[in-house]
Amino acid sequence: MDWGLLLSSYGSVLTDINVILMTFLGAAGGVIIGAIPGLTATMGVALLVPFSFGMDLIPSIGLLLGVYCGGMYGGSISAILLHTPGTPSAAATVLDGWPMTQKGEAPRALAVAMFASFCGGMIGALCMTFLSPLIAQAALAFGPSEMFMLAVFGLSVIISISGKSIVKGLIAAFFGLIICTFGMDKTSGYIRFIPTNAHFLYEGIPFIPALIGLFAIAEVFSSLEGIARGEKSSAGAVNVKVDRVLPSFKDIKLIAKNVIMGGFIGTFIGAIPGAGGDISAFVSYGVSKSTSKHPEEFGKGTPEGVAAAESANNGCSGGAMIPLLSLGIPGDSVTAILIGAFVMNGITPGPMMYVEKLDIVYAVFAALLLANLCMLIVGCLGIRGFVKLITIDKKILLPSIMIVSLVGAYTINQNIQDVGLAIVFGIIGYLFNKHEIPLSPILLTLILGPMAESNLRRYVQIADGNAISMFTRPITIIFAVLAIISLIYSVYLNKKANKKEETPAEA
Amino acid sequence: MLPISFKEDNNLKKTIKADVYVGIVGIIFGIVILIMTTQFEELVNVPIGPEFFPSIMATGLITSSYVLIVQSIEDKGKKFLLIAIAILIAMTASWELLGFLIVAPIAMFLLMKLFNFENYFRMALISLVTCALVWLLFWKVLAVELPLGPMDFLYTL
Repeated sequence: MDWGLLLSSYGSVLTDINVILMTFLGAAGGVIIGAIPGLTATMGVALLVPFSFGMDLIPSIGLLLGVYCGGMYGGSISAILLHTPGTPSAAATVLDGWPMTQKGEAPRALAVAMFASFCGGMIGALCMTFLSPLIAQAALAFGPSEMFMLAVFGLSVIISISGKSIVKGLIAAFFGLIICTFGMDKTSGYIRFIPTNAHFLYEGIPFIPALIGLFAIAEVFSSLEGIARGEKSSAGAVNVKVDRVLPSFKDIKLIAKNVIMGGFIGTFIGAIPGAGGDISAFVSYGVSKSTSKHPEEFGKGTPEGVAAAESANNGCSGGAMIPLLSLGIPGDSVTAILIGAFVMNGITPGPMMYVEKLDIVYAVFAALLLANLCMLIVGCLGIRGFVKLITIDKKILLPSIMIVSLVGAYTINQNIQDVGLAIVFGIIGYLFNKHEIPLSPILLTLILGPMAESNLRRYVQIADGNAISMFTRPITIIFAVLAIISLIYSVYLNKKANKKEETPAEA
Repeated sequence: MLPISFKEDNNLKKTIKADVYVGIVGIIFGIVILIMTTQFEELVNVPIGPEFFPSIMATGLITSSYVLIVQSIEDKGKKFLLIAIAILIAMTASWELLGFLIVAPIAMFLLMKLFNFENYFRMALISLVTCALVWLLFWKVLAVELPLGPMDFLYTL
């Protein structure tokens, strides 16, 4: 490692007012884009690439990375306040963020999410600086069988997010695993379960409209029913005071372990091509739950859950840059767009970049660090404003959420059928809510189901039909063992939690 | 579990009834998917086809929906009846794949358990011997070869 070059690159980035300004603008825009359901960090970066045409490389990379990091955090704002993840990466944040808002702890949840995002992003950026060649090598060892087992490990979280009834959680999960096979089969091109003229479903059930339907629209339906019956609605607590914008020292102590673990998990999973923030957030949530001292608190609104999810999805942004810079392979969709930005400036990411353009590599690391700092500042400044959102009168807020949701569903593919689909999913989500079937397993399976299926089939195809040979690969075995442990442990925890609830009722 | 008190009894009954409906809807959805997967074209040179994953998941959905129904029925008589039906369906479904001599003793063992038999060793012994005798009777006397799955080699002995 060339320390002199490292320091001078960092110095030149962190003192250049132009770069700082651009990164800050990017982060502010990213937070807003991320917070609006339907607009993702990927879309924000894609929209801004043309604007970065005329700029120098480093300011333009700063701008794009600012959007990337800001978007990752922004998604958690609507996840926490409105029960709708703004981006798929924030899907796991809903699990504990929304219950915290219901308990009237929205500012605490937002502060924890912001702090965790920042720390996760920093861990990612630092790992990237010091460990990228190592991580890139490990990530390359991930073939189809490893990806399949990683998905299975992620799916093993289902039981721990099922709530009271494991059976109902499983019903939701199987439902999700079935509907994620709708559309064109990615391995064989065969069209499954949909009419052949429904072109908009060829790529499967579009994730964002489904997400918006299941969470936002279903929530509004439930609130509407409650309000019409004169019940007190559960959507948000009114008049929350924001007494601090950073988490208290006690909270930091509570979440420190989850944040650090989440940051590393996020960095590593981010480095695996094809696995992004959504997957890493769920995996980190699962790991945090099974290693926590109070696993029964997860899902009921614990800062630990929010921190685990948020640090992992931001750690991912650092991780995803590793294969991009060291191998020329994008780790996720945002870095795929970033490659374009590099190429436009005459730089081809790849192994030679570490030899020929080391100063630019270090500058990118510094820009990512800066982007995370800017995100923290934007977050601190914005928290008071964000919280105001839930103090708005429900008669105004709920109809507005409905409209914004439908617009969000339309925007992603600019397709009116997607809006219809969001409404269908809204009705499904409402019915599921009514019968106390948890929605989070559906979310998880929509993300991990396709990954599990396509990788399993890819592996079996490669191994000539011999699926068992998968268990001769060490990483696969490790994930399989982890999945089994996590399953057994979460069934045990569920039994224990149910027993605890029964005892006081009998006494 | 929900705490049971007089006031909530009515509500509890309602959720239990609703659970049965949820289960029924789940089973119907699962069966529709299963039927649709059987109509997929068969692809050549593909070890695991497009029907594999959805059909497994549909089976999972049907199973968990069934368990939900069984769980939410309070009458022990009906509950046991449903469990017995499930055992018979599972036996039929896996018969050709695993073979009579593996599936039938397990099914019989479980049924005996359902009928409150308590000595596990005797349960195992009786179910094994009975099924073996039934198989021999059908093969030697009635000349019906029950499918044995992986144990098919017994017919060549």
